[in-house]
Amino acid sequence: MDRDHIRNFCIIAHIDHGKSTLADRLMDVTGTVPEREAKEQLLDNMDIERERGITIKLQPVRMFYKLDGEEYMLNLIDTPGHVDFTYEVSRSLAACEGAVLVVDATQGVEAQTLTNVYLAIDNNLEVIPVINKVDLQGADVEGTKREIEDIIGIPASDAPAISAKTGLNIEKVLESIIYNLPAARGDESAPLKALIFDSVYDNYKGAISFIRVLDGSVKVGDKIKMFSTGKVFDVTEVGVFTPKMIPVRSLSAGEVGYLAASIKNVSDTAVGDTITFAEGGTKEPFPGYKAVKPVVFAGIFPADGSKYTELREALEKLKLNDASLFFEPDVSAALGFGFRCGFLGLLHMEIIEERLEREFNIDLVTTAPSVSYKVYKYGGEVINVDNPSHLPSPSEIDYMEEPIVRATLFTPPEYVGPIMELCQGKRGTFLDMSYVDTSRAKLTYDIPLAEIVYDFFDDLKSRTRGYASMDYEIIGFKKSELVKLDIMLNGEICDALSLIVHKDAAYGRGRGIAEKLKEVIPRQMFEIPIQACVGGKVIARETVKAMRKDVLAKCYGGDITRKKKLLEKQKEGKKRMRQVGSVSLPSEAFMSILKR
Amino acid sequence: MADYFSALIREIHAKGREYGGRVDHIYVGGGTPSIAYEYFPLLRSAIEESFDLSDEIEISMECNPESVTPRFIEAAKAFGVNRISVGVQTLSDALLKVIGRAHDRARALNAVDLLTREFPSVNVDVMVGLPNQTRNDVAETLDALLAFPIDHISCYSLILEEGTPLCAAKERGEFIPDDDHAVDLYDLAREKLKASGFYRYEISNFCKSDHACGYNLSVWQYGEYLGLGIGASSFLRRGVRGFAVRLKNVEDLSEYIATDGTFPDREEISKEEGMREFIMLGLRLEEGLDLSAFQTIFGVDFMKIYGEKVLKLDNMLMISSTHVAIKPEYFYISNGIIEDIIY
Repeated sequence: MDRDHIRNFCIIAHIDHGKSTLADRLMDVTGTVPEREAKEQLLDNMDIERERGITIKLQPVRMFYKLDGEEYMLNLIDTPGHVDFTYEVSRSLAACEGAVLVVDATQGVEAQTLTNVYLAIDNNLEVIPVINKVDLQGADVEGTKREIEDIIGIPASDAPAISAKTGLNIEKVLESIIYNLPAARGDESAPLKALIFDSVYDNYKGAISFIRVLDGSVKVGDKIKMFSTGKVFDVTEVGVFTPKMIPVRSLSAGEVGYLAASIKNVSDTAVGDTITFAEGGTKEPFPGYKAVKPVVFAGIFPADGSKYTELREALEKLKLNDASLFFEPDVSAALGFGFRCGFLGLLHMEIIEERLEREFNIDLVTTAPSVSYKVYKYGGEVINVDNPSHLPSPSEIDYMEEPIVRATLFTPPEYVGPIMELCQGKRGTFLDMSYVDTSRAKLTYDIPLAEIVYDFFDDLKSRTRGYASMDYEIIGFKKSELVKLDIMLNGEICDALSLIVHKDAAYGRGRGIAEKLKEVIPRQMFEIPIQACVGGKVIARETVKAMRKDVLAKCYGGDITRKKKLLEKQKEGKKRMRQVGSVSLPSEAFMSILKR
Repeated sequence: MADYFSALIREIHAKGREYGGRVDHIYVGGGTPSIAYEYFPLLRSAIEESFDLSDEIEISMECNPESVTPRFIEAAKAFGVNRISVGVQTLSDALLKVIGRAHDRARALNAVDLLTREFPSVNVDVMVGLPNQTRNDVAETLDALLAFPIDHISCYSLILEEGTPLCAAKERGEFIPDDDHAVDLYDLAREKLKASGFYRYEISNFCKSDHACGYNLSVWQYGEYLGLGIGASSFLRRGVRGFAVRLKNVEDLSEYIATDGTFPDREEISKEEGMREFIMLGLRLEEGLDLSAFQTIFGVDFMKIYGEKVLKLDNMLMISSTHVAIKPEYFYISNGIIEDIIY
């Protein structure tokens, strides 16, 4: 098909504004998936995504639609909808010429709407707005259009008013895509240039790259090269998404599809990388490639120490499909053998934990998430520390820096006060506030990432009853007064409970953790002092009193078997606990410091 | 009842033929034997026909206050009972109602009075840690009981078991078990008993001078016993495959009657398992586990196998050349100590 009849587009929206539902309706109307096969929200294919109602992994689909007697090929590239995956979103956007912006007529413009629109505009995409959920009571179509024009600055008077749920006006969206979005760009006669916007792992075909062909064409047997690494592979299959993967003879400039080349590791098909020919390829890669770097780190240990190998295998399997997951072996005195893992953000971390527990059936003990700090040592050495137990002693540290994010918050005006209070409390620096209209204020703050990672979202939600939305990006590092908070149990430091915190927060956190631990540590045969310390100084103390009674039952001739079983069971329970010196700790002890 | 006792007597004859031998203690318990006193003469003769009873035999029997009648006492004495055990639990009428007992304070005191007149050795069961029980309840109960010439007290702390009415009451939030309070009450009972000349020879058992229950003592010292009747347990150091065997009769009445208790559950006990049981039982005793008995029964030195673990816990143990015992102040947490040693 000639490029004039191809439209490559994505759908961008704030969470819950109806992106996935619209995608499903577009497929229905274009007859792409027979109705009986269409599950709700077909594009979100992982259970966890479906349950949380959010898209993490992109799944493209090719559709055909006839308009004015001509047939058009519409390639929809779905985008993840969470701040953790901003880079993946940006690569998906880069594979398109246009974007459909979905705004919920009952909610209006939200923080993520804006972030995504800016990302789209940065990638030179044409953006067409669509007003969704017009069937709902409280839908304000005109007001929403005004907001789009005022806040985002794109014309919205002709935006289709639709209901993705009921299917109202879906044809209007298709018409707008064909009339208003640019046709696929590209030069078929130029050497191959294809952008990788996602990759998945297949047991038989190896790592599969999802690509947008920008220039030239690619077919089975071609020798291709990955621009970032220079690694060369032989193409074994090319194909398209219907949304099932169907092999085709070749993919040409303007088209979207997939490519398999017996690639062993997904890390060799890095998202954002450019594919070209090994010989006579393009000179210029597609701009904007960057290796994704984890920003949140945590120790993940099997609750049952003997499952270490299973955990490693599970992480390796997840890594096949998720190049952004980082892990390396870690040893903790308290938790034994496990892994230090790096994630794109908290949601990413939660998803990995949940998949390990659900899909691989491994009970986990996870340490508190940490960000990566820059530690400037005396003598000029600079090291990155993301594991509190690896922090050098205070006498070696000149100063430390922590990552800072720029956070954009949208809120109804009545919550401006509570949000400002929250941001101040989280060591935020106020940058700007404006009213986008009478019902919405926009606040901008610089906040340490560590505060966001701790409990910012929960706090924001409770202070604004869920009405505020937030987005953020990491903007750099800032010098900060940080200390290591250690927890001592019966006089011994438990490495897995150590944290790096701001010195002003140390006392509060230390006291909170000591109190929590007192609740979750069962009474044992001796008294257990719980001490929170900073630099050897005790800042909080609690005591778990010695157990006074575990028996007084009778044990006569008929009771022996039962008694024996009881002792065995109790011992099993003890074995499931972690030994820190002489103290037995249940898994909950480690969870207790994750959240307030 | 008649069917049950016929089956029981058939079992006694059968087991007598199979195991026979000398008997030092008879313990008639489990449930309420006191209500079946008409059958005592039949039982006595069946036992005499089947076993060789020692001249100094101890014959213990359990009863409840409400079944202590002149006819019962007469039958028990004729049976040869020389040690009687009565389940009083508490003398607080309110608490007796809570735990669903059929007797009241007056009935209990009357029973203890009668029994102490008629039998040379009397045990009373009492409970502490009952829902909302006060120090005063415990003190008052013990003072009233100790006014009689009893020579043995079994003092139990309430253990909530699933499915019991008390456990349901706890789940409804009607009371909150408090281990600290229960231990305080137990300490109070222990002190009172000590002041009255009782010594604690086992975690839950107190007696005057040499009035320990011979039968129970032999169980804790890993002696053999033969259980007869519905649901009864036996322990015999002659397993088919292993070193010892524990037999348990069926719990179902009609099944028991149909089979005369000839198809008990068998639990074969290996030597290693046996060592664990020996320790679990021996450490319940004040004198502790007997090292030379361990050597005799298992043919190995206790300290050779368990020495390392035992020494780790030495602040809670008393270790001599003949015995290893839990220090009395750590009796309350003996489960934890025993677990650490045997597993």
